Amino acid sequence: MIPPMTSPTVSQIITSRLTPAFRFNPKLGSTGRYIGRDGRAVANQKVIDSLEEAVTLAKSEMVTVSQRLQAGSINLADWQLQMRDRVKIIHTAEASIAKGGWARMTPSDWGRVGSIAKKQYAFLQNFAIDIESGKQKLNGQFLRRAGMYADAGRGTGGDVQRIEANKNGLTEERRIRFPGDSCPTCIDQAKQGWQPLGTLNRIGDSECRTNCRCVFEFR
Amino acid sequence: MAKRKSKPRRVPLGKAIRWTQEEIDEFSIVTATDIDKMRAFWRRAVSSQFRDLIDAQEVDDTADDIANS
Repeated sequence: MIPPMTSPTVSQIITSRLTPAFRFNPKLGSTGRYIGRDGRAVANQKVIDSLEEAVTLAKSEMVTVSQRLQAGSINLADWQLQMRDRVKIIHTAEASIAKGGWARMTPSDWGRVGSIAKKQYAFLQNFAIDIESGKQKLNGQFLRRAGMYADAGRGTGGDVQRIEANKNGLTEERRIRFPGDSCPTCIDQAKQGWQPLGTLNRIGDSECRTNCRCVFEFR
Repeated sequence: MAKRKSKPRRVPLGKAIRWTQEEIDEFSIVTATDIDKMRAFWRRAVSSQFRDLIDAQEVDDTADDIANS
């Protein structure tokens, strides 16, 4: 006898390999939440940790490319082009994750990332000109400066979240300081608590610059 | 007699590229190839558990998700 056919349950559909491992629900939390295959919301800290892993790899790749320039394996123009590609990657990744996955990015979101990248390319060009002129020596400071282009990606994620918060009708923001950060401006910004949306410093606009690991919360 | 290892030749530093504004405008546009590169990068960068985060699909089944959040 053929057993009766049963419809799959919702959870069976969710756990199917055919469905994406993660979904993004824009209506959860202030700017949306990722949902895992088990149907549970992914902790925000896990998302932040993943973003930090991405920054770490981007930084490591930028430093490696820069070490090749130091070693004389590549020329300045090659270095500049390889750095440029990595700048775009980290900013697009940060924006995509802040938005809830790349598939949610709209043409105007991509345009916004492009405009951030443009600024970074101008900085990168000046950096290359400093190297060419000898103003920037190919020393340890050079490697640190190169790595900052990866760190700068953090600010892009914060920018996208602010825009999403505004779209979701939220009106206030606060900055949460990363434990151990001691930048005076970040301390002051965190102390201010809830402020009107868009009035606190952008991530990266404090003394700690691209090292800033503050995050925004919205309500 | 063993061959003496020759020092690797250093590439001359050369000049920085001076991009025009038009060039900067052009390569700041995010293309489908850029998205593929970014997705591949993300998969290399993060722990296996969160490799697919970048490919998340939007859903709106609020009731289920709120119950689980």
